[in-house]
Amino acid sequence: MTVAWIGNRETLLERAVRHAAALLHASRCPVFTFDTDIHGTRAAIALAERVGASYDHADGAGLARETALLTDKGGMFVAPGEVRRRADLIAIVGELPEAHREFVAELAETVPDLIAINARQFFLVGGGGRGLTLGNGRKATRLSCGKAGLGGTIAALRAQCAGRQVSTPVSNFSRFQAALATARFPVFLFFGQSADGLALEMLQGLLADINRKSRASALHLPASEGGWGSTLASTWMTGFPLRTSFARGFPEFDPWRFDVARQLAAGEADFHLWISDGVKKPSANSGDTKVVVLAKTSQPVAGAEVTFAIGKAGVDHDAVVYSARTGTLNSVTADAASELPSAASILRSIAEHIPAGAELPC
Amino acid sequence: MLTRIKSGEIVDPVNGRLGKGDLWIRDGEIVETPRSGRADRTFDASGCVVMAGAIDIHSHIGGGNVNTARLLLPEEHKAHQARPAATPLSNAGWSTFETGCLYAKMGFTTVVEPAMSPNAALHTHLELADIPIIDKATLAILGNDDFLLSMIRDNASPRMIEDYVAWTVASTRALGVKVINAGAAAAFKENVRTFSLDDVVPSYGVSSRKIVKTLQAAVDRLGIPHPLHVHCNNLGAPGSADTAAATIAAAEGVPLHLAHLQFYGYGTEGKRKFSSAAARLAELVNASPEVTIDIGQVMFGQTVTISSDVMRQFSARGTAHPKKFVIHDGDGNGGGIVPYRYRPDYYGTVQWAAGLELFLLITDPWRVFFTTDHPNGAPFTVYPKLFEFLMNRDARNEVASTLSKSALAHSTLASIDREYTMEEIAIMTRAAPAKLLGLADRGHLGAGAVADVSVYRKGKDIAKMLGRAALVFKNGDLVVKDGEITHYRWGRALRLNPPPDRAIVKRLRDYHEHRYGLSLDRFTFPDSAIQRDEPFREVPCRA
Amino acid sequence: MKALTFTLRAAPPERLDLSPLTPQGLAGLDKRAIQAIRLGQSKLASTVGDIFRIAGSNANSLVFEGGSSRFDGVATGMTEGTVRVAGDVGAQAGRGMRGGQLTIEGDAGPHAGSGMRGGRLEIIGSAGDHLGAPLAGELAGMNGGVLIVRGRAGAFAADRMRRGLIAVLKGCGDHAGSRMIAGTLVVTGGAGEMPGYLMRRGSILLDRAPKSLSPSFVECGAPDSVFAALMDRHLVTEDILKRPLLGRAPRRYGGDNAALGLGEILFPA
Repeated sequence: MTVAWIGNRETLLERAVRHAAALLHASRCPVFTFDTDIHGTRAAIALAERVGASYDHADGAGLARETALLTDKGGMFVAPGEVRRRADLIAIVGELPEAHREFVAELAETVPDLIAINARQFFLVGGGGRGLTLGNGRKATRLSCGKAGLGGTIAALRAQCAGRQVSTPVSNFSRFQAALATARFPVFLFFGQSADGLALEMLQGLLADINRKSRASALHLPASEGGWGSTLASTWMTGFPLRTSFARGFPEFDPWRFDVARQLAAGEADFHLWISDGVKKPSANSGDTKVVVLAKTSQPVAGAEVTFAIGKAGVDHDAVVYSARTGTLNSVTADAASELPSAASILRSIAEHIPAGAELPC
Repeated sequence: MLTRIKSGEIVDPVNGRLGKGDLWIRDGEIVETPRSGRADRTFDASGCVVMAGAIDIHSHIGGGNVNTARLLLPEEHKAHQARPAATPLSNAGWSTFETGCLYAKMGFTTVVEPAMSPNAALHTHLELADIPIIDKATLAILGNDDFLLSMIRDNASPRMIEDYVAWTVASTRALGVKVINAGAAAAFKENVRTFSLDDVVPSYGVSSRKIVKTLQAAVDRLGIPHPLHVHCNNLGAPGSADTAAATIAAAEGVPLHLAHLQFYGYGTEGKRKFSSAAARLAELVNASPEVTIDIGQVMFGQTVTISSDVMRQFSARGTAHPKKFVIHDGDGNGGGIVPYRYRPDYYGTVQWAAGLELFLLITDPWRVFFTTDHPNGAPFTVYPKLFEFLMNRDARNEVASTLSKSALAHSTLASIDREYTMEEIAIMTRAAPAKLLGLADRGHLGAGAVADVSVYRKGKDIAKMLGRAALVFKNGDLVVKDGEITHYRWGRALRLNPPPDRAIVKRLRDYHEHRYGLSLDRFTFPDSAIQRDEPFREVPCRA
Repeated sequence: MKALTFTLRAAPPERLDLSPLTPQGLAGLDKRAIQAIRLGQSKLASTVGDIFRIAGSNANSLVFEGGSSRFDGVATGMTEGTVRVAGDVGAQAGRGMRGGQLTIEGDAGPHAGSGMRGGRLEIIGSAGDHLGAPLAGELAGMNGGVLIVRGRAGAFAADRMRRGLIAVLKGCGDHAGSRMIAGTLVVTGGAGEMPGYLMRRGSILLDRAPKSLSPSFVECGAPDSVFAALMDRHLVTEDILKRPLLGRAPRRYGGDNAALGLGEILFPA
């Protein structure tokens, strides 16, 4: 089985690793994009430290909004298990992403068994023109505010809950208010791809208001589970989330400067390491930037100096991934174990071939 | 390889070795002086104190809540190498890598993360595995989880509760059990806002006292070496000394450890109804031989409070500085992250003084432990300064003279002359922690011990002496020289491994499937998930 | 003495951190020391000498002949003197300024005037997103001084502003004045979606209706005409605007009622 190519030519893994390491070592402004499990992330960040690279996730934008909520505001959050067992009011904030429909369906099919008295009620804040059918024959009541969009709707909802004036009231507000008054543990589900940072901050303001007298919280269902896992690993390893750089020898976090897609578009990067065991493919090779790809592929990637075939985490090999369903990192056993190498193993090999400077930190 | 540390002043209270001599290491173990007397390498330790590696029993160094704190505060620790003095948490040991290095430089070789949420055990161990050099251990949190509270409510047999505790400790790879504001996190989910020892969690009808006593008994009967580690109710509140006193009384002859007692050392005297009650608590501890405590010393400056006491953190959210916080309702405890700046004002002075009074008035160094509850009272990087306060009364009096006089008027600190001796420091930070945690292989320099050794160049400046070790050996590897890291290595997490009871595993399987719709396997993991060689080291339970 | 002048040799090969090059930072340094300062943010690690030819010696008056969107942190934390850039700049121009005058003759990138405390920053071209706004994790926006953009500004202009004046003359993007705590934002040429979102106090003065207004803003009576008139006069005499902005009877919207609700957005009927 071929797992490495230099250009279009099959080669030995060892030779490809050496070549990638040499290119990386010679580069002046390397950038990494990844979409991989915790160990792939750990190996990528360790390599970035070694070579002075900046790094980001392939789904960087939605994750950056969720990260900004944490860095700029914080807030109140709840574990998914508690939502299933306690939440008697569920408000879906913005459009429900495909990836999280299954959990919402599960919530529609189950009843809270701790403290709740009422059956679970569902609301949809903002979102498109249609209501939302949840399965089990249940529908979410829409809370919307004319053309105001999600941000405007949450703002109006918060103002009305506080008894302040608004120019356009939220539809079905009295129903929401009545439900809120009797609910024991309302939970708002939010997603970075459906709401901008200010709207998420407004949501947390609403929660702060509610929690003065009663309880409520928010469930973070991330824009990308893999990306949130990578965010956590980056944070413990460097102190900072994604969009961090080691170019100056110490970790620097700057969500604008180290937005890797921006760095590539601006021609700042001379080396792009693309790591994805999923379906995403690297964007077209731009200018003089040299590209090395780790992907689940059976052929070399066009334009790449070096291509490595890797297995998918949790499918080809055991993995550790973030799960939105448990709200933490879980161990996953390979369900179709194969000989394909993991991203982590390739990245570690490349790091071993970078001429010694500092000791490898991990 | 045979290593000789020559002519140092050895301080090894466990083996009664005090005075000048040589220490020999073969590979990773301390050995008797070999007959040959020939070493492969020799380090001259003349003019130095030689002690076992230090052990920190309570420091929040990794896991979900710690990581959330990092995420919440990027501006507090940016550019930590370019402009170290410019940012408040720049010396806090913020990433996993810095944590290991900064501890090692001070001669610490084993650190316990005291608040691991069982469901996040894998996350916690992955973080700990990325902390270089030192060994780690965790305490698993129980006491706000529905499974335990339901068992207590339903009068489950002590045996069944022990099986559950044993399964939790084994599956999460913990070294002990901690209970944090027992019942309060569960009650907070039902909108209860204050919670004391005899308050009852509404849905369960179970009191906080009952939870503590149940877990204390289970831990004791299972032979878990470390007694139940208790974070009491009413942390930080004026008058919380009453709660701590009641909890000490509740030990009733069975071992119990009270965490960060300083945060309960408050009475209600004075104009502001907030005063040091440390002297009273110290007296109670002195009279209760089954009780051990750690301090949780406060030092002034910016820090962040990280606690699984979600109710307390929620009520403290208004004091956040800078003004942001995270409150998390978790499966059991959850937690809260509230950044905070300790100011040398009236309140800060009371807290600072109360911690030092406890250190100095509790007479038995085997029962008082050296902590700042990192980072809750202060980052662990203040340890050198704190050692100086304990060993030099002029140093602490000098600081006291700049603080709130009215706060100190309610404290006994000014009247205390005691200065810790190096032997007492060795007991408090080496011998006693090893004994408390059941780690026979460390905390001393006898033959057979793990070769965790710290060598400090003697000097008048205690903070400098103990802040930058001259030499540190971890498992016989030289890792620090002249206060700088010379070698990276990967430590292990120390864990217990009581055998699982099949009936409780089946019950837990059913419970997770019915209540959470999830397989129990989602919350367990194989050692291989850590992806390091031998990530764990087993410690035996008491026979 | 002639202004200390940095003439760009060629387009910079990497992003530069120009924060060391301020009047107070360069005072007393000789030419060789200045040339050795590292500016490069990648492993190229360019120095001042690699990037610029230096002439003149008056560090109290700095001139950059030629600019680039890769010039980050121009005049960071400046306290006195003048800095003029004859060209574009990148991110964080005038970040944390406390005094003196910074003039950007071209366009500025994001976070221009971030967390300014004092002094005057004038951008002749356009500014990127987050004008005057804090960086990730910080809670303090602009807290004093005057920031003028003669061209357009991007989204989140004046985010978390607490004090001072920001004027944008050719329109701005969405969420201008978000999370304002106090201070004044003036925008002519149109504002994007939902200005003043989450504002607690402060004033946003517009020359026309914004693209949209959050429903948590409510029209509330006549504005304080004395304030409007004084503001208009100030803007004209300071040479920020050519003619009065608000006219005789502006509308006043109070908000953000989702937050404290003591802020206001004014624009002519």
